[in-house]
Amino acid sequence: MAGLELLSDQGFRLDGRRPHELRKIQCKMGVFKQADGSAYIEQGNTKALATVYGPHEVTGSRSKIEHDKVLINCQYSMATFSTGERRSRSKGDRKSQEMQLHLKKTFEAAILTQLYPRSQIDIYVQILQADGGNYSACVNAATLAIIDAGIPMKDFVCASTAGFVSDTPIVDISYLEESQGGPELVVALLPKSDQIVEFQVNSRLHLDNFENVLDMAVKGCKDIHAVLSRAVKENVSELASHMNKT
Amino acid sequence: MAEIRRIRIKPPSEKAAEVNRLVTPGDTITSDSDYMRGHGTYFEDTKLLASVAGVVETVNKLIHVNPLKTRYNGEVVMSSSVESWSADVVICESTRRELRRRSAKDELNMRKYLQEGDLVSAEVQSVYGDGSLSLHTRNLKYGKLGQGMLVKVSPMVVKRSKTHMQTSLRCQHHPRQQRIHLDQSHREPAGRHPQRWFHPEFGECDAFDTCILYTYESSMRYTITELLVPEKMENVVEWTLQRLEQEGAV
Repeated sequence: MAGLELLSDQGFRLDGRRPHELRKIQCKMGVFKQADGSAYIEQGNTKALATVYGPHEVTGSRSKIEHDKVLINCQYSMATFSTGERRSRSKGDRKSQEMQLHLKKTFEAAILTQLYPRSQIDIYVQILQADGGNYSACVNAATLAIIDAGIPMKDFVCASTAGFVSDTPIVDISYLEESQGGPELVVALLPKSDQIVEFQVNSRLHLDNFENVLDMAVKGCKDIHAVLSRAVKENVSELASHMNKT
Repeated sequence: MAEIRRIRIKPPSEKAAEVNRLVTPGDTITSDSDYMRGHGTYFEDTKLLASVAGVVETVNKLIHVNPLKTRYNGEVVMSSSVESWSADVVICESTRRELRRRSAKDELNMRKYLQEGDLVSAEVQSVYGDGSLSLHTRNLKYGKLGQGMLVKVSPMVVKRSKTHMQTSLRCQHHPRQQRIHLDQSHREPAGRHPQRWFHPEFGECDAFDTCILYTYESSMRYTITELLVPEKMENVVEWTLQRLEQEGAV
């Protein structure tokens, strides 16, 4: 390793967390008035913004219409100022196309798609600041936005990452930990039913350790679920009390 | 199609129950299989789960969850007739004028009454299998909307009433949108209807005809430019609420 000690002898990570600790999560629902649903999330220094439009009539070519379920259209972008080096990105580059596909698959598994045949739901996510775990921040933000839009879902979708450093699984890895080249697990979970809807492993991980790292990622997802569901409950009761006032 | 449902939580005496009535997606509502599945819920392994975040409501054996914010679903629509819709709309309009679509010429004549891009207020006659709608404007209260200003409000802040369309001197009230006739003398009222009065986060009052009228009247104390100041806007809302309370109209 390049001189960086990701896990100190005392068991602390570079940013002072213990291996099982998440970064601080802050989120807000309903940030835009124009969109049907929107949400903003901060996971440590990773910041993501999601907006949801729909269900509405299918835009563009009619051949895209699906007759038994709703068409989910995802768009992922990174702000020019999101990384350390300022860089303007073209919209359809390979990386964001891949991300769009992953997001689409994830939400097709969670949204009750059969309820809105011949319609379309647009999910737009943007990374405002990238500090590792972009996919999970996107999924978590989009989940909140979909709930805000009142679109029926089976469950929350919570995503988290896990790495493996000096024989210890670490959860919610940051950019620094990500870029050291160690193994990385990305998991998106339906926390109530424990179903995995998206799963990725980057670089090699020994099968003996696999179980432990996966458990860590799943636990991370459940911790995120606790935070998100509290935020949603707060938002719902606030809206309900507003409507109840008169 | 379902009408808009207003969300009413029971009075504070049932506080404990009230907390339980707020659910988020994936929450178990009941494991009793006697209940019927309504909107916003789904069955999984004999358990009834919520699929949206909102308030649980039960009508006899039917359980449904009302999301607090969602797209409009009601029976009166107002829409800008886009190309694919125009045919249906035109047919309906023509029947009112005792025209029938007998020949291609009749069809062309219908363009005189309604064109693509016109704003119409119409009732949904039927929903076809492929999801397209057939609208009608047979009643005189529906039809093409002429001059005016369109103010969009969230369907969730509209007070539920028997009919969702009233016409008053200045305002034509509509479940989804408010329209104000705009002639010379009424150009000003139009400026007095910023939609944020009815935004769920800002609005302290549901949108309905009396409320709109009162808001308009209270706003007369200010000039239009003054109304842009948030504090003054709040004053207007407060006066309106006071007046509504006095008259017991809420």
